Amino acid sequence: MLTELHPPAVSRRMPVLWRATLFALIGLLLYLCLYAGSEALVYHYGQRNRFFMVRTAPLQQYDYVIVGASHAVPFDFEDMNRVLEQASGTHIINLSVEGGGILPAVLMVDYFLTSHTTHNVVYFLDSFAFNSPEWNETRLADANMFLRAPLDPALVTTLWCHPWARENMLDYVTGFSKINNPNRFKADVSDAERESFHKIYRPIAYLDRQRIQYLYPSRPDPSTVERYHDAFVAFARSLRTRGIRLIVIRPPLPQRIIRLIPSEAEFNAEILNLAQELDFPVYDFSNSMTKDEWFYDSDHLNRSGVELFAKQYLVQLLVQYR
Amino acid sequence: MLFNSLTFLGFFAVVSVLYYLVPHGWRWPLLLITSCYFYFTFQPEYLLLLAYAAAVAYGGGCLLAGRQGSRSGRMVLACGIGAELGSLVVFKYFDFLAGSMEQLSRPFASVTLPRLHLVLPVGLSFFTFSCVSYLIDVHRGRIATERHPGRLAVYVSFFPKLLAGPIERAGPFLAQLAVPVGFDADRVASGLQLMLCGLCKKVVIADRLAVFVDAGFRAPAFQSPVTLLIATYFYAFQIYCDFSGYSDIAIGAARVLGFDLMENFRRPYLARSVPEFWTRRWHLSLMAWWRDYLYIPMGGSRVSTSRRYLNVLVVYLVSGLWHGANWTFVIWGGLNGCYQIARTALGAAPGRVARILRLPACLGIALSMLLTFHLIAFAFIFFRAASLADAVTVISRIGTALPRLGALARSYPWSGEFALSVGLIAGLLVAEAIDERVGIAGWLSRRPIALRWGTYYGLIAMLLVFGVWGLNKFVYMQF
Repeated sequence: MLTELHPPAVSRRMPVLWRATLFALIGLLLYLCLYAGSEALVYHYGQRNRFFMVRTAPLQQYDYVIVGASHAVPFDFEDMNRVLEQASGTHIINLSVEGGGILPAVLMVDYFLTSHTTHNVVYFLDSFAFNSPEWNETRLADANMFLRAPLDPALVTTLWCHPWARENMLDYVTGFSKINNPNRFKADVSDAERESFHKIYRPIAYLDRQRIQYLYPSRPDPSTVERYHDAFVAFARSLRTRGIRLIVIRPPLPQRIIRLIPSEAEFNAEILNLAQELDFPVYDFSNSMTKDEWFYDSDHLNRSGVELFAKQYLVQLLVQYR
Repeated sequence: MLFNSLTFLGFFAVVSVLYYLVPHGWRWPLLLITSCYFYFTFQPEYLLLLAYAAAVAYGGGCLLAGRQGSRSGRMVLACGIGAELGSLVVFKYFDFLAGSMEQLSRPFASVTLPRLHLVLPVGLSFFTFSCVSYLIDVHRGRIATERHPGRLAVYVSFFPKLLAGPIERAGPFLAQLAVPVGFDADRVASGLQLMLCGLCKKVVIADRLAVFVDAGFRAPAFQSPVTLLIATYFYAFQIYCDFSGYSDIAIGAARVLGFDLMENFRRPYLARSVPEFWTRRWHLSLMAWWRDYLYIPMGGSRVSTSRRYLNVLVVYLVSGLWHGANWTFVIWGGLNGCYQIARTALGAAPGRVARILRLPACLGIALSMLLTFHLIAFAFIFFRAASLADAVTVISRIGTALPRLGALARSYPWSGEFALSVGLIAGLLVAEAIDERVGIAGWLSRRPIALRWGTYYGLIAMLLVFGVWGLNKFVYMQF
C-alpha cells in the first residue's frame, strides 16, 4: 500500500528533530487519552479481577483473605462470598487466581496488605502450584492478570519488591493490557462462572487424564520445586511476623482425580512437616466431597458442591478462627 | 525475535541509530553482526547453516569468475547449486522423501527408511534461493563476482529479508550496499510508515483471523460446515495479511536502513485472473525467481503450446513443494498450475462471453475478481490443511452442506469478534481498491500534515486497541 516512496510535501518546512519530537509528544498525549479511557472502562466493568477487587475493597479489617488456585475460585462465584460472610459472620475477600501457584498468591497478599489488614490468610493449596513456572512466573506474565488492574502506585511498588514480578511492570505501568483488552466492554466474569457453575460433570476418563496432563505436564525439576517451596516458607514466615495466621486447606477433589495426581502423598507429608515447623494448621479436605454431582468439570466444585462444602466444613472453620 | 515483538522494535531502533552513526566502511560489519544475532535468537545452532550457505555462494562465485559460459563454469555452477540445495533437501525434504518412498514401495515390499527428524531451520528456503540466484547471475554474467566475503554474507543474511524474503537479487542489493547512504528523514519516515502498515496487517487482521481459521482446520471432521467455510474465506485473508505484512515490515525496515527491496505484493485480491494473481500481484519475488531460473531455462513460452503448459505445471508443482514437504503443497501448486493453464487455454473466450451476455464492464470485472478469489481460496484449503485427508474433509463437508448453509448459519455463534474481522477485511479491500486507483501513499503525502499524522496515529491506535499481541509466528517463516 505504501510501497513507493513519496516524500511529504509540507514536511520540509519543519526541522526533522522538531517534527519527530512533536509527533512523539502528540502521540504520547493521545496515548494518555487511551489510557484514561481504558482506566475508566476498568472501573465501569471491573468485578472479579483480583487487583481490581483489592483496589476497590472497602478499607476495613478483614477476617480472611482466601488465596490459591482455581479450586478456591468457585467460592467467589456469583454470591458465594457473601453467603460465606453471612454464614460465618466474617469479612472475607477471595484473591485466588485461576492457575495461580505460590508466587501469584504471595503477590496478591502483599498487594492487599499495602492498604488493608486481615487476621487470617486461608490458602487453598494444590501440589501443582509448586511444580512449574507455568503456574508462577509465567502465570504472572499472563496479560489476563492485568487486563483490569486499576492504576495504583502501591501495586507498582509491590511488583518492584518481588524480582520475579518485575517483568510485569512495563505492561502494568503502560496500561497496555488494559488498552488492548478485547473484552473491554464485557462484564468481568469468567466463562466458568457464567456458563458452568451450575452444571454437573459426567466423568470422562480421557478428560480427567487430559486435565492432569495439563496441570502436571512433566516430572518437576527438583530445583524448581525447592524454589517454590522456599517461597512458601518465606510467605508463611512473613505472615507470622505481620501477626497474620496462615491456614492451609487442601481443597476437595474427586477420588478419580486424586488417584491420577503424581506424588500427592509425598506432597501431603511435606506440607505436614512444614506445618509443624512453621506452626500453621492444615485441613485436608481432599477426600471430603466424593460425588461427581458436586463438580461442574473434572475437579471444580459447582454451586451445590460449594454450598455443601461451606455448610459442612468451611463455615465452621471460618467461625473457629474468627 | 519476531517482527511483531517489542524486542524487535528495540533491536531495530538500536541498529538503525548505530547504522547512521558509524562511517560507511563499518556498516557492513554492523549489518552482518546484527543479522547473525537476529538469526541467533531463533535457532543458534543453525547459524552454521547460514554461514555454510554464504560460504558456498562466496566460494562458488569466486570459482565462477572468468569461467562464465564455459564447461568448467557450468560444472562449478552445478556443484554450487547442488551444495546449496543439498542442505535444503537434507533439512526440509529428507523425511518427506523417505516417507513417500516407503509408501510407493509398499505394494512391492515393506521397506522402512531412516528418518532424520531435523527441526526445519527458519528461513532456509529463502536464503538458499538467494544464494542460488547469486550463483546463476554470476554464471550468466549479469553481475560481477562479489570478492568481499563480508558483503556477500550481508546479502545472504540481511535481517529484514532473512526469514521470509523478499527473495532479493544480489545485483541491486550489493550495489546499494556499496554506496554510502546519508540519513534521509523522508526515506526513514516512509520506511517506518510501511512497517506500521505491515504490523497492522499482521497483528490487527491476520492474527485475529487466525483464531477462526485454526478453529476450523484443527479437527475439520468435527467442525460445522459454516465454521469450515468461514475458516476457508478467512484463511485467504489471513495468509495475505500475514505474509504481505511481513514483507511490508521487511521492506520498510530495509528502507529505513537505506535499502530498496523488491516489491512482494500488489493488492492480490483485485486480480482479474489467476495468471494475473501469480505473475503481477502475489509473492512477486518468488514468482520472478521461478520465471528467471526455472521457467525461462525450460523454454518458457517460446515452445510448443503443450510444452508451455508442461513448463507452467512444473513451475507450480515445484513451487508447491518449495513451500513445504507435504503432498498438500504439491496439490496446491498443481491446482494453481491447472488454473493458469485453463485460463491461458481459454484466451479471449471469457471476454466474448461477457460481450454476448452484455454484462456491464464493471460487473464483468467484479465477477472475474470474485471468481479468481474463489479459485485461489479453494486452492488454499490444501495449503492450510494438515493433510490431504483433512483438505478433502473440509471440501466435502462444505460441498455437501451448501444447500442447507442458511439453516446451519443460524446456529453459528456469530460474535462481535467475527463482525470486527469482517469489518477489517472490508476496510482492507476498500483501502486497496482506492490504492489501486490513486495510490494512497502518494495521495497522503500531498495532504496537510494533520491528515497524514492523523492517519498514522489512527493506525497506531488500531495496533494498540485491536492488535492481537500473542506473538504469533509469521506463516511463511516455516518455509
